[in-house]
Amino acid sequence: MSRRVRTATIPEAQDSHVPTGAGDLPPSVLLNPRRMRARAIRADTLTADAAQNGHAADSTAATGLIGNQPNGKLHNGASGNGLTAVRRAVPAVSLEHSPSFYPKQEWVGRVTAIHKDEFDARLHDLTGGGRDVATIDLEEIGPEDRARMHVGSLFHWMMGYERSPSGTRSNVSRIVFLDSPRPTERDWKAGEEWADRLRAKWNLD
Amino acid sequence: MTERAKPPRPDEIEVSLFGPGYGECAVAHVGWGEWIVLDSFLTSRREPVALQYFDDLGVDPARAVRLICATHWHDDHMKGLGDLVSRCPEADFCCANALGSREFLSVAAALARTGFPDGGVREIHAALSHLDHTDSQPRWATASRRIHRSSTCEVWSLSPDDDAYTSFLTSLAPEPGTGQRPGIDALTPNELSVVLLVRFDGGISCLFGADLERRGWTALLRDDARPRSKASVFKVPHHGSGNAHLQEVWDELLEREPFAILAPWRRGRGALPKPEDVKRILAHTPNAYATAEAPAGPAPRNRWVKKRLKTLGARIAPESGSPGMIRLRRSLAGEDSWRVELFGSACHLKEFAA
Repeated sequence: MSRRVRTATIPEAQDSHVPTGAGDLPPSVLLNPRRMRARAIRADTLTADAAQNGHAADSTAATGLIGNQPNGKLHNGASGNGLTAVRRAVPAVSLEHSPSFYPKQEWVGRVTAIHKDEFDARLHDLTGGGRDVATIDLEEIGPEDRARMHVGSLFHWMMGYERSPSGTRSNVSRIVFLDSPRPTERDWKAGEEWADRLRAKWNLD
Repeated sequence: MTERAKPPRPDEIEVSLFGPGYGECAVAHVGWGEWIVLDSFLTSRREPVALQYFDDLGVDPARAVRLICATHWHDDHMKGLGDLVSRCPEADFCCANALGSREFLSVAAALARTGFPDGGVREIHAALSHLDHTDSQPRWATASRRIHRSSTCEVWSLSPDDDAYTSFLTSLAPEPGTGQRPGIDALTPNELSVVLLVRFDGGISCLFGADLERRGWTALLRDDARPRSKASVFKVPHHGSGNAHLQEVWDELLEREPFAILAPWRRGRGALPKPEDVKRILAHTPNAYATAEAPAGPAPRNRWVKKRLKTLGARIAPESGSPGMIRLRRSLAGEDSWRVELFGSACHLKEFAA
């Protein structure tokens, strides 16, 4: 059975630092959310349209793969103000399925608001193309992911069916969150330095 | 040349509002080839809508745009703002004074370093970074401050008020005890919205309500220092939402039966304006228009997916309907009212199907 590999541009993630990924994982673990988190989000020149049209390159062949950096960032020199310069790269999420999973519909999404029982998201439709907005029940999210999800979190939403070794077919809807980096103390410090410099320059103190 | 691409005469003023269903941008020709821009969203060509419009009109934004205002940093108002600011070097950039606070600047820069910050904050950060590199300085909007003057008009910011500023700074403070920093989801910018009043010589005024909600309008009305003008054009705040409605705004800040224009808003969870909002606005003026007829219908999907989405209770709709534009023009002198033109999916509010 062939292995299905999809790569997609992350919505709203252009022109940014790019978290790095681990190497390839065997297909059997790819639907495990924890392992999924460890998987690649990598710099890639692949466009979303290419991904939608099924022209995605194999994830191992993605160009512009970023080496490991603290906080998973792409460092490309530093500007005078202490902020890291940003390399223009289009990050992509590597999305793979186990051989027993048959996707019918897939999105890559970004959380835009969290309500009491639901959350809002912008979705990039990997199956039909286009961008959607959605409200999704929080019941769809496991408790561990729910605690860590925040506005800006990225996820992969897969719908399809799965066949067990005994041949039983079951419907599956699975949302897998991809860790998006949060500011570290170093980021906060650099941010404060930038703020202080600008405020002095603009006579705001 | 299409009707839409016909530029205004030098002595003609224009207010145009763009909105595809998610996203809002307004431009105004203030006379003699000078323009101001409020907010931004990207077209399907991934270009700031204002720049595309200027291109259609044959206007050079690098020379013609004199003021760009970021009313607040919600995604639907900010897409492409950084690009817009960098391509309009003659323009002053204006945003709420709270965005110049150490607290906000630090958060914006720290989030920008992570790579996946909230889109709106990223755009503000990009705009401020551009000003830093070009040794320019923002105009800080607050209650009753004149932020721009041209040969034909004055532009005043009427908000945010001091309470909104203080409350915003409090929300950015690290949590006492744990020292935990707030996430971007803790920041609620509507209260910091910049309401702009454009006052033309000769007594014509336009009021741009941004997304300011009721508490902010109450503070604005209480401000004795605000310029006293009644506007004949009103960009209805917060996409027509009831939480931004205050009767006194219609009574004290607007002429009778003003031209009310709004850009609808839609997310999976809901849409604005709601039917009761449409009814309320139409009760105040028959001259009300929306940039889009209705929220877009569901995206075509196969039966299996539709059924599964229904079972899960998930609601999904295309992000953008077809973009629409409301254009109001009038002569600076002579004509007694605005001339309305509707393009794309823009419609009279009576035709809006909430």
